[in-house]
Amino acid sequence: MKNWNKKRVWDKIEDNLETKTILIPTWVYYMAASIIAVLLLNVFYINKLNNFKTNYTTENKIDTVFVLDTIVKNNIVENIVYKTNEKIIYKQKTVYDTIFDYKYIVEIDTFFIEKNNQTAEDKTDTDRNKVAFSKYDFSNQKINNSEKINIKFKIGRRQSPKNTEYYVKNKTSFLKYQIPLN
Amino acid sequence: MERRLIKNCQKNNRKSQKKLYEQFADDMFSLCFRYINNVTDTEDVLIKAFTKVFENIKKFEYRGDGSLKKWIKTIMINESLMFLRAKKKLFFEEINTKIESDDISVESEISYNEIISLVEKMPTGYRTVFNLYSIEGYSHKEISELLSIKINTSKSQLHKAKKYLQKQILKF
Repeated sequence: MKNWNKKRVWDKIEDNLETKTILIPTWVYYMAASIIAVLLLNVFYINKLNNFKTNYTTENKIDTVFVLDTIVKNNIVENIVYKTNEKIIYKQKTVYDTIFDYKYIVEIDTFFIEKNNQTAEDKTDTDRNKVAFSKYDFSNQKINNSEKINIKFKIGRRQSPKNTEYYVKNKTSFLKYQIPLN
Repeated sequence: MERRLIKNCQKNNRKSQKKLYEQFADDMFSLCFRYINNVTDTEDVLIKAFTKVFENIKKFEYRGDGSLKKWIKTIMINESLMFLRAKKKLFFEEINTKIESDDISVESEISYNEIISLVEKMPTGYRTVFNLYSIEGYSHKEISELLSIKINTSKSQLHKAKKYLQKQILKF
């Protein structure tokens, strides 16, 4: 951090605000009061709207991978369609990544079907289907209505454009997504 | 907490305005300095930008955590760009060469602060586009509109900035 005169800057801002306050004519205050009155009438609606926006933002921050669809036919998982929120992943990039053109990729890491009340933590790695990137065969993944699909996504970093996938140790993060089927 | 602070600032409460200033001043100084690269000029830009923040905070609509900071940052960036334009420090070379990326692999990473110190040493054109694209997350289209330049100029400035920084980092 460079040395700078924080106090001088604040004093000048304060001066500016004082001057502007004096120059504001009285009718502006009346106008503002009327606007506030109108806003108060709508306060319930605005609060509802704000809550919606806040929830929406928070949700987006948590999930960087969205499962759009799970194609299940005759109790067999045929495919899982997912997408990433690129804007959010982009924000997780470091300046360093940008300089060297590293790109983030998302892939399915683990995919398994949760039977009855068994949780993901109860399963050992050998129970899970390890998924090879973009080659995963979903066939024969039979499921019942009471079961759930657990997908673990892996976010990695790779150098573009010609290099093979490149993961930085300790820098991959995982996300879990569970789809209730009934 | 932040909501209350905003509401009090909207009421023109000086104490709250100072609190908000204290909360964001250092971050915003660093942000503006990345564009302006001179302490006194950055301070002048901060004075104008924060005055605008307090004059316009009544129009600000709270959209969850981080929305206030994002709004303040936008004002800071616009003010910094206005300063650079007024001082005629923004100069962009028009380049029509095809942009290609090279594969460069680097074992160790340098710290954010070290990268920023290298960014500060770049020419104004490169630095401005690099800051807007790589740090603030603007698209080339948005940058072209902000700076009144062609999309390709923005891309080529970024490409040159990256090349410059790659060289500097490899020397590190």
